[in-house]
Amino acid sequence: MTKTFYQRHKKLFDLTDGLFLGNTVLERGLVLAPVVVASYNYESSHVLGLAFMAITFVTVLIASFIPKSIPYSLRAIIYTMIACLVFVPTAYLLNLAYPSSVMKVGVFLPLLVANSLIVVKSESRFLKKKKPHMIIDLLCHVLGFYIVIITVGAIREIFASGSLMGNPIGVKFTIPALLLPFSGFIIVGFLAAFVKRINNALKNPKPRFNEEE
Amino acid sequence: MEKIISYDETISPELTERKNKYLNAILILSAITIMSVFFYGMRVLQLMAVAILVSFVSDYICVLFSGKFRFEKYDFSSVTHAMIITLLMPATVEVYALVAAVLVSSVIAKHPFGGADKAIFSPPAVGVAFSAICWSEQFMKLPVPFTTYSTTENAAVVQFSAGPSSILKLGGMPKIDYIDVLLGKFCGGMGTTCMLVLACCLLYLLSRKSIHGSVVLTTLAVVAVWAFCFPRIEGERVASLIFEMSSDAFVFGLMFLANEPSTTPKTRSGRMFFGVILGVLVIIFKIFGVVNPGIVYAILIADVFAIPCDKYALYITERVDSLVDKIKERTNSNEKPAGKVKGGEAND
Repeated sequence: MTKTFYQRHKKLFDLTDGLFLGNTVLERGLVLAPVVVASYNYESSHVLGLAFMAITFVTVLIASFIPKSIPYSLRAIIYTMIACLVFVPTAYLLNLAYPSSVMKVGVFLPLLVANSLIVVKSESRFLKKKKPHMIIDLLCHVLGFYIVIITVGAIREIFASGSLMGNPIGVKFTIPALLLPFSGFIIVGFLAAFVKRINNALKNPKPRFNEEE
Repeated sequence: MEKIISYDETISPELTERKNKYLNAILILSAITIMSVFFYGMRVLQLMAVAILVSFVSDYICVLFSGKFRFEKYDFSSVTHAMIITLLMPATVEVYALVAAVLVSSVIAKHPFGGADKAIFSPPAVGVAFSAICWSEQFMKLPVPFTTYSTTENAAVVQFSAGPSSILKLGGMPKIDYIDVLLGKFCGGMGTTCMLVLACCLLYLLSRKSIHGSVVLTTLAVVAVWAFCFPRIEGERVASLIFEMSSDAFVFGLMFLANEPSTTPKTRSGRMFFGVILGVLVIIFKIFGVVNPGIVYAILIADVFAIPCDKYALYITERVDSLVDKIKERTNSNEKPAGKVKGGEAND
Protein backbone atom coordinates (compact mmCIF):
# COMPACT_ATOMS: atom_id res chain seq x y z
CA MET A 1 0.00 0.00 0.00
CA THR A 2 1.42 3.42 -0.92
CA LYS A 3 1.87 5.80 1.98
CA THR A 4 0.25 9.22 1.97
CA PHE A 5 2.26 12.44 2.23
CA TYR A 6 1.32 12.70 5.92
CA GLN A 7 2.43 9.12 6.65
CA ARG A 8 5.73 9.65 4.83
CA HIS A 9 6.50 12.84 6.75
CA LYS A 10 4.85 11.92 10.06
CA LYS A 11 7.96 12.76 12.10
CA LEU A 12 8.08 16.28 10.70
CA PHE A 13 4.34 16.72 11.27
CA ASP A 14 4.72 15.51 14.87
CA LEU A 15 7.60 17.89 15.48
CA THR A 16 5.67 20.90 14.17
CA ASP A 17 2.39 19.68 15.65
CA GLY A 18 1.73 22.86 17.68
CA LEU A 19 1.84 25.05 14.61
CA PHE A 20 -1.36 23.79 12.99
CA LEU A 21 -2.63 20.23 13.55
CA GLY A 22 -2.24 20.36 17.34
CA ASN A 23 -2.74 24.09 17.67
CA THR A 24 -3.02 25.44 21.22
CA VAL A 25 -6.28 27.27 20.54
CA LEU A 26 -7.91 25.43 17.66
CA GLU A 27 -7.16 21.81 18.53
CA ARG A 28 -6.75 21.88 22.29
CA GLY A 29 -9.05 24.79 23.19
CA LEU A 30 -6.48 26.38 25.50
CA VAL A 31 -5.81 30.13 26.04
CA LEU A 32 -9.20 30.96 24.54
CA ALA A 33 -10.05 34.08 26.53
CA PRO A 34 -7.62 36.56 24.92
CA VAL A 35 -8.45 35.26 21.42
CA VAL A 36 -12.21 35.47 21.92
CA VAL A 37 -12.51 38.66 23.95
CA ALA A 38 -9.52 40.91 23.42
CA SER A 39 -8.48 40.26 19.82
CA TYR A 40 -11.05 42.45 18.12
CA ASN A 41 -8.55 44.18 15.84
CA TYR A 42 -5.17 43.50 14.29
CA GLU A 43 -3.10 45.64 16.67
CA SER A 44 -4.58 44.24 19.89
CA SER A 45 -4.08 40.73 18.52
CA HIS A 46 -0.50 41.55 17.54
CA VAL A 47 0.29 42.88 21.02
CA LEU A 48 -1.29 39.89 22.76
CA GLY A 49 0.40 37.45 20.37
CA LEU A 50 3.84 38.99 20.90
CA ALA A 51 3.37 39.08 24.67
CA PHE A 52 2.23 35.45 24.71
CA MET A 53 5.21 34.36 22.59
CA ALA A 54 7.75 36.18 24.75
CA ILE A 55 6.28 35.23 28.14
CA THR A 56 5.59 31.57 27.34
CA PHE A 57 8.80 30.84 25.45
CA VAL A 58 11.17 32.40 28.01
CA THR A 59 9.26 31.03 31.01
CA VAL A 60 9.15 27.43 29.81
CA LEU A 61 12.79 27.64 28.75
CA ILE A 62 13.84 28.82 32.22
CA ALA A 63 11.45 26.33 33.84
CA SER A 64 13.25 23.46 32.10
CA PHE A 65 16.25 24.09 34.39
CA ILE A 66 14.24 23.73 37.59
CA PRO A 67 14.98 20.36 39.23
CA LYS A 68 12.21 17.74 39.14
CA SER A 69 12.87 16.91 42.79
CA ILE A 70 10.75 19.90 43.80
CA PRO A 71 7.07 18.85 44.22
CA TYR A 72 4.78 19.69 41.28
CA SER A 73 2.56 22.01 43.31
CA LEU A 74 5.58 24.14 44.18
CA ARG A 75 7.01 23.97 40.66
CA ALA A 76 3.74 25.31 39.20
CA ILE A 77 3.94 28.29 41.54
CA ILE A 78 7.59 28.86 40.59
CA TYR A 79 6.72 28.75 36.84
CA THR A 80 4.04 31.41 37.35
CA MET A 81 6.45 33.55 39.35
CA ILE A 82 9.02 33.30 36.55
CA ALA A 83 6.27 34.29 34.09
CA CYS A 84 5.49 37.32 36.27
CA LEU A 85 9.15 38.33 36.16
CA VAL A 86 9.26 37.91 32.38
CA PHE A 87 6.02 39.89 32.07
CA VAL A 88 7.57 43.07 33.50
CA PRO A 89 10.12 43.77 30.73
CA THR A 90 7.74 42.39 28.07
CA ALA A 91 4.97 44.81 29.09
CA TYR A 92 7.48 47.66 29.30
CA LEU A 93 8.80 47.03 25.77
CA LEU A 94 5.34 46.56 24.32
CA ASN A 95 4.20 49.76 26.00
CA LEU A 96 7.04 51.60 24.29
CA ALA A 97 6.22 50.12 20.91
CA TYR A 98 2.38 50.17 21.08
CA PRO A 99 1.39 52.60 23.86
CA SER A 100 -2.35 52.71 23.15
CA SER A 101 -2.86 49.00 22.43
CA VAL A 102 -1.36 47.82 25.73
CA MET A 103 -4.01 49.83 27.56
CA LYS A 104 -6.77 48.52 25.28
CA VAL A 105 -6.09 44.81 25.87
CA GLY A 106 -6.41 45.51 29.58
CA VAL A 107 -6.37 42.61 32.00
CA PHE A 108 -5.77 40.01 29.29
CA LEU A 109 -2.10 40.97 29.03
CA PRO A 110 -1.16 40.29 32.67
CA LEU A 111 -3.42 37.20 32.66
CA LEU A 112 -1.05 35.59 30.14
CA VAL A 113 1.37 34.79 32.98
CA ALA A 114 -0.98 32.04 34.13
CA ASN A 115 -1.74 30.55 30.71
CA SER A 116 -2.25 26.82 30.28
CA LEU A 117 0.95 26.26 28.29
CA ILE A 118 3.01 27.46 31.27
CA VAL A 119 1.00 25.94 34.10
CA VAL A 120 -0.14 22.61 32.63
CA LYS A 121 1.49 21.84 29.27
CA SER A 122 5.02 22.64 30.43
CA GLU A 123 4.88 19.64 32.75
CA SER A 124 2.82 17.28 30.65
CA ARG A 125 4.52 17.93 27.30
CA PHE A 126 7.48 20.29 26.94
CA LEU A 127 9.61 19.30 29.94
CA LYS A 128 9.35 15.62 29.01
CA LYS A 129 11.33 16.23 25.83
CA LYS A 130 15.02 16.83 25.17
CA LYS A 131 16.01 20.49 25.02
CA PRO A 132 16.36 20.91 21.21
CA HIS A 133 13.06 19.12 20.59
CA MET A 134 11.41 21.07 23.38
CA ILE A 135 12.55 24.40 21.90
CA ILE A 136 11.24 23.54 18.42
CA ASP A 137 7.94 22.25 19.85
CA LEU A 138 7.56 25.32 22.07
CA LEU A 139 8.34 27.66 19.17
CA CYS A 140 5.72 25.91 17.03
CA HIS A 141 3.12 26.21 19.80
CA VAL A 142 3.66 29.93 20.43
CA LEU A 143 3.83 30.64 16.69
CA GLY A 144 0.61 28.66 16.21
CA PHE A 145 -1.08 30.81 18.85
CA TYR A 146 0.23 33.98 17.20
CA ILE A 147 -1.08 32.92 13.78
CA VAL A 148 -4.54 32.14 15.19
CA ILE A 149 -4.90 35.34 17.23
CA ILE A 150 -3.72 37.47 14.29
CA THR A 151 -6.14 35.70 11.93
CA VAL A 152 -9.09 36.18 14.29
CA GLY A 153 -8.15 39.83 14.94
CA ALA A 154 -7.75 40.60 11.24
CA ILE A 155 -11.05 38.93 10.28
CA ARG A 156 -12.90 40.84 13.01
CA GLU A 157 -11.31 44.18 12.10
CA ILE A 158 -11.98 43.78 8.36
CA PHE A 159 -15.62 42.79 8.71
CA ALA A 160 -16.54 44.84 11.79
CA SER A 161 -14.72 48.11 11.14
CA GLY A 162 -13.91 47.88 7.42
CA SER A 163 -10.21 48.45 8.04
CA LEU A 164 -6.97 46.53 8.55
CA MET A 165 -4.18 47.72 10.86
CA GLY A 166 -6.26 50.86 11.33
CA ASN A 167 -6.31 51.71 7.61
CA PRO A 168 -9.67 51.73 5.80
CA ILE A 169 -9.73 49.11 3.03
CA GLY A 170 -12.97 50.13 1.36
CA VAL A 171 -15.31 47.53 2.86
CA LYS A 172 -18.68 49.29 2.89
CA PHE A 173 -20.78 46.55 4.46
CA THR A 174 -19.70 46.04 8.07
CA ILE A 175 -21.06 43.82 10.84
CA PRO A 176 -20.51 45.67 14.14
CA ALA A 177 -21.44 42.61 16.22
CA LEU A 178 -18.14 40.99 15.22
CA LEU A 179 -16.49 43.21 17.82
CA LEU A 180 -18.42 41.40 20.56
CA PRO A 181 -17.02 38.28 22.28
CA PHE A 182 -19.69 35.92 20.92
CA SER A 183 -18.40 36.54 17.41
CA GLY A 184 -14.93 35.57 18.59
CA PHE A 185 -16.32 32.22 19.69
CA ILE A 186 -18.02 31.72 16.33
CA ILE A 187 -14.87 32.52 14.33
CA VAL A 188 -12.69 30.31 16.55
CA GLY A 189 -15.32 27.57 16.20
CA PHE A 190 -15.19 27.68 12.41
CA LEU A 191 -11.38 27.74 12.36
CA ALA A 192 -11.32 24.80 14.78
CA ALA A 193 -13.74 22.88 12.55
CA PHE A 194 -11.44 23.57 9.58
CA VAL A 195 -8.41 22.22 11.47
CA LYS A 196 -10.40 19.19 12.62
CA ARG A 197 -11.40 18.43 9.04
CA ILE A 198 -7.81 18.63 7.80
CA ASN A 199 -6.69 16.51 10.74
CA ASN A 200 -9.24 13.85 9.86
CA ALA A 201 -8.36 13.95 6.17
CA LEU A 202 -4.65 13.52 6.92
CA LYS A 203 -4.91 10.92 9.66
CA ASN A 204 -7.75 8.81 8.23
CA PRO A 205 -7.30 9.13 4.45
CA LYS A 206 -9.94 7.66 2.17
CA PRO A 207 -8.57 4.66 0.26
CA ARG A 208 -7.86 5.41 -3.37
CA PHE A 209 -9.87 3.64 -6.06
CA ASN A 210 -7.10 1.24 -7.11
CA GLU A 211 -6.26 0.48 -3.44
CA GLU A 212 -9.79 -0.64 -2.56
CA GLU A 213 -9.38 -3.82 -4.57
CA MET B 1 -55.53 -11.33 -1.05
CA GLU B 2 -52.73 -8.79 -1.06
CA LYS B 3 -53.22 -5.78 1.17
CA ILE B 4 -53.01 -2.49 -0.68
CA ILE B 5 -50.45 -0.26 1.02
CA SER B 6 -50.92 3.46 0.61
CA TYR B 7 -47.93 5.73 -0.03
CA ASP B 8 -48.18 7.26 3.47
CA GLU B 9 -47.90 3.84 5.12
CA THR B 10 -44.48 3.29 3.54
CA ILE B 11 -43.09 6.38 5.25
CA SER B 12 -41.73 6.04 8.78
CA PRO B 13 -43.74 7.78 11.56
CA GLU B 14 -40.86 10.20 12.21
CA LEU B 15 -40.88 11.32 8.59
CA THR B 16 -44.65 11.69 8.59
CA GLU B 17 -44.45 13.74 11.77
CA ARG B 18 -41.75 15.93 10.26
CA LYS B 19 -43.73 16.40 7.05
CA ASN B 20 -46.90 17.33 8.94
CA LYS B 21 -45.05 19.68 11.26
CA TYR B 22 -43.39 21.64 8.46
CA LEU B 23 -46.46 21.71 6.22
CA ASN B 24 -48.65 22.93 9.11
CA ALA B 25 -46.08 25.60 9.95
CA ILE B 26 -45.88 26.77 6.32
CA LEU B 27 -49.68 26.88 6.09
CA ILE B 28 -50.00 28.95 9.26
CA LEU B 29 -47.11 31.24 8.36
CA SER B 30 -48.73 31.85 4.98
CA ALA B 31 -51.94 32.95 6.72
CA ILE B 32 -49.97 35.35 8.91
CA THR B 33 -48.11 36.62 5.83
CA ILE B 34 -51.41 37.57 4.19
CA MET B 35 -52.24 39.76 7.21
CA SER B 36 -48.77 41.31 7.09
CA VAL B 37 -49.19 42.14 3.39
CA PHE B 38 -52.49 43.81 4.27
CA PHE B 39 -50.78 45.99 6.91
CA TYR B 40 -47.40 46.69 5.34
CA GLY B 41 -47.85 46.18 1.60
CA MET B 42 -46.01 44.16 -1.02
CA ARG B 43 -42.64 44.79 0.63
CA VAL B 44 -43.43 41.88 2.97
CA LEU B 45 -43.61 39.49 0.02
CA GLN B 46 -40.46 40.91 -1.53
CA LEU B 47 -38.55 40.45 1.73
CA MET B 48 -39.93 36.96 2.19
CA ALA B 49 -38.96 35.92 -1.32
CA VAL B 50 -35.40 37.12 -0.75
CA ALA B 51 -35.23 35.35 2.62
CA ILE B 52 -36.51 32.04 1.23
CA LEU B 53 -34.13 32.19 -1.73
CA VAL B 54 -31.10 32.96 0.47
CA SER B 55 -32.11 30.32 3.00
CA PHE B 56 -32.56 27.66 0.33
CA VAL B 57 -29.25 28.42 -1.40
CA SER B 58 -27.24 28.63 1.85
CA ASP B 59 -28.85 25.44 3.15
CA TYR B 60 -28.04 23.62 -0.07
CA ILE B 61 -24.41 24.77 0.02
CA CYS B 62 -24.15 23.59 3.64
CA VAL B 63 -25.70 20.24 2.68
CA LEU B 64 -23.09 19.89 -0.10
CA PHE B 65 -20.33 20.71 2.41
CA SER B 66 -21.54 17.98 4.72
CA GLY B 67 -20.99 15.43 1.94
CA LYS B 68 -24.62 14.88 0.93
CA PHE B 69 -26.10 15.88 -2.38
CA ARG B 70 -29.74 16.41 -1.46
CA PHE B 71 -31.85 17.68 1.42
CA GLU B 72 -33.20 15.20 3.94
CA LYS B 73 -36.66 13.95 3.09
CA TYR B 74 -39.42 16.40 4.03
CA ASP B 75 -36.93 18.85 5.48
CA PHE B 76 -38.67 22.13 4.66
CA SER B 77 -36.86 23.96 7.43
CA SER B 78 -35.20 26.37 5.00
CA VAL B 79 -38.63 27.70 3.99
CA THR B 80 -40.18 27.78 7.48
CA HIS B 81 -37.12 29.37 9.10
CA ALA B 82 -36.91 32.05 6.39
CA MET B 83 -40.62 32.84 6.87
CA ILE B 84 -40.31 33.00 10.66
CA ILE B 85 -37.28 35.31 10.46
CA THR B 86 -39.01 37.62 7.99
CA LEU B 87 -42.21 37.86 10.01
CA LEU B 88 -40.31 38.65 13.21
CA MET B 89 -38.69 41.72 11.64
CA PRO B 90 -40.16 45.20 11.22
CA ALA B 91 -41.41 45.94 7.71
CA THR B 92 -38.82 48.67 7.18
CA VAL B 93 -35.85 46.40 7.86
CA GLU B 94 -33.05 46.66 5.30
CA VAL B 95 -32.54 43.67 3.03
CA TYR B 96 -28.95 43.13 4.21
CA ALA B 97 -30.11 42.75 7.84
CA LEU B 98 -32.63 40.11 6.76
CA VAL B 99 -30.08 38.27 4.60
CA ALA B 100 -27.55 38.30 7.47
CA ALA B 101 -30.17 36.86 9.84
CA VAL B 102 -31.03 34.07 7.40
CA LEU B 103 -27.36 33.25 6.74
CA VAL B 104 -26.48 33.16 10.45
CA SER B 105 -29.51 31.00 11.14
CA SER B 106 -28.52 28.51 8.47
CA VAL B 107 -24.71 28.54 8.48
CA ILE B 108 -24.03 29.07 12.19
CA ALA B 109 -27.06 27.83 14.12
CA LYS B 110 -28.36 24.95 12.00
CA HIS B 111 -25.86 23.02 9.88
CA PRO B 112 -22.80 22.91 12.17
CA PHE B 113 -24.97 20.90 14.60
CA GLY B 114 -26.26 18.49 11.96
CA GLY B 115 -29.42 20.16 10.66
CA ALA B 116 -32.70 21.54 11.97
CA ASP B 117 -33.52 18.40 13.97
CA LYS B 118 -30.28 18.56 15.95
CA ALA B 119 -29.73 22.28 16.50
CA ILE B 120 -29.15 23.18 20.15
CA PHE B 121 -30.53 26.71 19.75
CA SER B 122 -33.57 27.70 17.74
CA PRO B 123 -31.96 28.71 14.38
CA PRO B 124 -34.41 31.55 13.53
CA ALA B 125 -33.95 32.96 17.05
CA VAL B 126 -30.17 32.99 16.59
CA GLY B 127 -30.50 34.73 13.21
CA VAL B 128 -32.88 37.42 14.47
CA ALA B 129 -30.83 37.98 17.65
CA PHE B 130 -27.67 38.45 15.56
CA SER B 131 -29.33 40.97 13.27
CA ALA B 132 -30.97 42.80 16.18
CA ILE B 133 -27.59 43.17 17.93
CA CYS B 134 -25.84 44.34 14.74
CA TRP B 135 -28.47 46.80 13.56
CA SER B 136 -30.48 47.48 16.71
CA GLU B 137 -31.72 50.87 15.44
CA GLN B 138 -33.68 49.10 12.68
CA PHE B 139 -35.45 46.94 15.27
CA MET B 140 -36.23 49.83 17.63
CA LYS B 141 -37.89 51.98 14.91
CA LEU B 142 -41.19 50.27 14.21
CA PRO B 143 -43.30 51.37 11.23
CA VAL B 144 -46.96 52.29 11.71
CA PRO B 145 -49.23 49.88 9.78
CA PHE B 146 -50.51 51.13 6.39
CA THR B 147 -47.63 53.65 6.05
CA THR B 148 -44.87 51.40 4.73
CA TYR B 149 -43.53 51.30 1.24
CA SER B 150 -42.45 48.86 -1.42
CA THR B 151 -38.92 48.84 -2.80
CA THR B 152 -40.06 50.97 -5.74
CA GLU B 153 -41.65 53.72 -3.63
CA ASN B 154 -40.19 56.56 -1.60
CA ALA B 155 -39.14 55.60 1.93
CA ALA B 156 -39.81 59.11 3.24
CA VAL B 157 -43.57 58.49 3.61
CA VAL B 158 -43.08 55.90 6.34
CA GLN B 159 -44.17 56.89 9.85
CA PHE B 160 -42.40 55.34 12.79
CA SER B 161 -43.57 54.92 16.36
CA ALA B 162 -42.51 53.21 19.57
CA GLY B 163 -43.98 49.76 20.08
CA PRO B 164 -46.19 48.95 23.10
CA SER B 165 -43.29 47.19 24.82
CA SER B 166 -41.21 50.41 24.87
CA ILE B 167 -44.17 52.37 26.29
CA LEU B 168 -44.83 49.71 28.94
CA LYS B 169 -41.17 49.81 29.93
CA LEU B 170 -41.55 53.50 30.74
CA GLY B 171 -44.68 52.78 32.79
CA GLY B 172 -46.96 54.37 30.20
CA MET B 173 -50.25 53.19 28.76
CA PRO B 174 -50.12 52.44 25.01
CA LYS B 175 -52.85 54.37 23.20
CA ILE B 176 -54.19 51.40 21.28
CA ASP B 177 -57.82 50.24 21.19
CA TYR B 178 -58.43 46.67 22.24
CA ILE B 179 -60.03 46.07 18.83
CA ASP B 180 -56.82 47.28 17.17
CA VAL B 181 -54.87 44.90 19.39
CA LEU B 182 -57.07 42.05 18.17
CA LEU B 183 -56.69 43.13 14.53
CA GLY B 184 -52.97 43.88 14.87
CA LYS B 185 -53.16 47.57 14.00
CA PHE B 186 -50.20 48.64 16.08
CA CYS B 187 -46.41 48.80 15.69
CA GLY B 188 -44.42 45.59 15.84
CA GLY B 189 -42.79 42.88 13.78
CA MET B 190 -44.44 42.15 10.43
CA GLY B 191 -46.30 39.03 11.55
CA THR B 192 -46.34 39.41 15.30
CA THR B 193 -49.17 41.84 15.98
CA CYS B 194 -52.46 40.40 14.73
CA MET B 195 -53.68 38.69 17.91
CA LEU B 196 -56.88 37.31 16.42
CA VAL B 197 -55.09 35.53 13.59
CA LEU B 198 -52.31 34.40 15.93
CA ALA B 199 -54.87 32.98 18.40
CA CYS B 200 -56.60 31.04 15.62
CA CYS B 201 -53.23 29.77 14.36
CA LEU B 202 -52.26 28.76 17.90
CA LEU B 203 -55.48 26.79 18.32
CA TYR B 204 -54.99 25.12 14.94
CA LEU B 205 -51.41 24.12 15.70
CA LEU B 206 -52.40 22.85 19.15
CA SER B 207 -55.27 20.81 17.69
CA ARG B 208 -52.94 19.33 15.05
CA LYS B 209 -50.36 18.62 17.80
CA SER B 210 -47.74 20.46 15.77
CA ILE B 211 -46.68 22.37 18.86
CA HIS B 212 -46.54 21.36 22.51
CA GLY B 213 -49.42 22.74 24.56
CA SER B 214 -47.46 22.13 27.74
CA VAL B 215 -44.75 24.65 26.75
CA VAL B 216 -47.10 27.25 25.30
CA LEU B 217 -49.77 27.18 28.00
CA THR B 218 -47.30 27.13 30.92
CA THR B 219 -45.38 30.11 29.54
CA LEU B 220 -48.61 31.98 28.79
CA ALA B 221 -49.85 31.26 32.33
CA VAL B 222 -46.62 32.44 33.99
CA VAL B 223 -46.53 35.71 32.03
CA ALA B 224 -50.27 36.26 32.46
CA VAL B 225 -50.09 35.82 36.24
CA TRP B 226 -47.17 38.26 36.40
CA ALA B 227 -48.88 40.82 34.16
CA PHE B 228 -52.08 40.66 36.20
CA CYS B 229 -50.54 40.62 39.68
CA PHE B 230 -47.75 43.13 39.04
CA PRO B 231 -49.09 45.44 36.32
CA ARG B 232 -46.61 47.87 34.79
CA ILE B 233 -49.50 50.24 34.06
CA GLU B 234 -50.59 51.54 37.44
CA GLY B 235 -54.02 50.31 38.48
CA GLU B 236 -54.80 48.79 35.06
CA ARG B 237 -54.52 45.05 35.53
CA VAL B 238 -56.56 44.01 32.49
CA ALA B 239 -54.85 46.50 30.17
CA SER B 240 -51.47 45.36 31.45
CA LEU B 241 -52.41 41.73 30.79
CA ILE B 242 -53.57 42.51 27.24
CA PHE B 243 -50.59 44.64 26.24
CA GLU B 244 -47.99 42.35 27.83
CA MET B 245 -49.45 39.43 25.90
CA SER B 246 -49.67 41.24 22.60
CA SER B 247 -46.32 43.07 22.61
CA ASP B 248 -42.77 42.01 21.87
CA ALA B 249 -43.69 39.13 19.48
CA PHE B 250 -44.60 37.05 22.54
CA VAL B 251 -47.31 34.80 21.07
CA PHE B 252 -45.55 34.45 17.71
CA GLY B 253 -42.29 33.50 19.43
CA LEU B 254 -44.05 30.93 21.60
CA MET B 255 -45.63 29.31 18.55
CA PHE B 256 -42.66 29.12 16.25
CA LEU B 257 -39.46 29.55 18.28
CA ALA B 258 -40.18 27.81 21.57
CA ASN B 259 -41.40 24.65 19.85
CA GLU B 260 -38.39 23.60 17.82
CA PRO B 261 -38.31 19.79 18.22
CA SER B 262 -34.59 19.70 18.94
CA THR B 263 -34.75 22.34 21.66
CA THR B 264 -37.80 21.23 23.64
CA PRO B 265 -37.69 18.65 26.45
CA LYS B 266 -38.99 15.15 25.70
CA THR B 267 -41.32 14.58 28.68
CA ARG B 268 -44.48 16.56 29.43
CA SER B 269 -43.33 17.49 32.95
CA GLY B 270 -39.98 18.57 31.46
CA ARG B 271 -41.77 20.76 28.94
CA MET B 272 -43.86 22.34 31.70
CA PHE B 273 -40.69 23.04 33.66
CA PHE B 274 -39.18 24.51 30.47
CA GLY B 275 -42.30 26.68 30.05
CA VAL B 276 -41.91 28.06 33.58
CA ILE B 277 -38.22 28.91 32.94
CA LEU B 278 -39.12 30.52 29.61
CA GLY B 279 -41.93 32.51 31.23
CA VAL B 280 -39.60 33.87 33.91
CA LEU B 281 -37.00 34.77 31.27
CA VAL B 282 -39.62 36.51 29.14
CA ILE B 283 -40.63 38.59 32.18
CA ILE B 284 -36.99 39.49 32.88
CA PHE B 285 -36.46 40.58 29.27
CA LYS B 286 -39.72 42.54 29.28
CA ILE B 287 -38.59 44.48 32.36
CA PHE B 288 -34.86 44.87 31.73
CA GLY B 289 -34.38 44.12 27.99
CA VAL B 290 -33.13 46.91 25.77
CA VAL B 291 -33.25 45.22 22.35
CA ASN B 292 -36.37 44.13 20.44
CA PRO B 293 -37.76 41.46 20.26
CA GLY B 294 -37.02 40.27 23.81
CA ILE B 295 -38.65 36.85 23.36
CA VAL B 296 -35.83 35.82 21.01
CA TYR B 297 -33.18 36.24 23.73
CA ALA B 298 -35.39 34.61 26.35
CA ILE B 299 -35.80 31.56 24.10
CA LEU B 300 -32.06 31.36 23.36
CA ILE B 301 -31.29 31.29 27.10
CA ALA B 302 -34.14 28.87 27.84
CA ASP B 303 -32.81 26.50 25.13
CA VAL B 304 -29.75 25.93 27.31
CA PHE B 305 -32.04 24.43 29.98
CA ALA B 306 -34.04 22.28 27.53
CA ILE B 307 -32.09 19.05 28.07
CA PRO B 308 -31.67 19.33 31.85
CA CYS B 309 -35.38 20.19 32.18
CA ASP B 310 -36.36 16.51 31.74
CA LYS B 311 -33.91 15.57 34.50
CA TYR B 312 -35.05 18.34 36.85
CA ALA B 313 -38.70 17.54 36.24
CA LEU B 314 -38.10 13.83 36.90
CA TYR B 315 -36.23 14.67 40.10
CA ILE B 316 -38.98 17.00 41.29
CA THR B 317 -41.80 14.52 40.48
CA GLU B 318 -39.89 11.74 42.27
CA ARG B 319 -39.40 13.95 45.34
CA VAL B 320 -43.07 14.95 45.32
CA ASP B 321 -44.14 11.29 44.92
CA SER B 322 -41.92 10.20 47.82
CA LEU B 323 -43.29 13.05 49.95
CA VAL B 324 -46.86 12.02 49.14
CA ASP B 325 -46.01 8.38 49.99
CA LYS B 326 -44.52 9.45 53.31
CA ILE B 327 -47.60 11.49 54.17
CA LYS B 328 -49.83 8.52 53.25
CA GLU B 329 -47.70 6.18 55.40
CA ARG B 330 -47.99 8.55 58.37
CA THR B 331 -51.73 8.91 58.03
CA ASN B 332 -52.02 5.11 57.73
CA SER B 333 -49.85 4.56 60.82
CA ASN B 334 -52.01 7.03 62.76
CA GLU B 335 -55.14 5.13 61.74
CA LYS B 336 -53.66 1.64 62.40
CA PRO B 337 -54.24 1.41 66.21
CA ALA B 338 -57.94 2.11 65.74
CA GLY B 339 -58.06 -0.53 62.97
CA LYS B 340 -56.42 -3.09 65.25
CA VAL B 341 -59.01 -2.52 67.91
CA LYS B 342 -61.73 -2.85 65.33
CA GLY B 343 -60.14 -5.99 63.94
CA GLY B 344 -59.74 -7.34 67.44
CA GLU B 345 -63.36 -6.66 68.15
CA ALA B 346 -64.35 -8.38 64.95
CA ASN B 347 -62.18 -11.41 65.79
CA ASP B 348 -63.69 -11.53 69.18
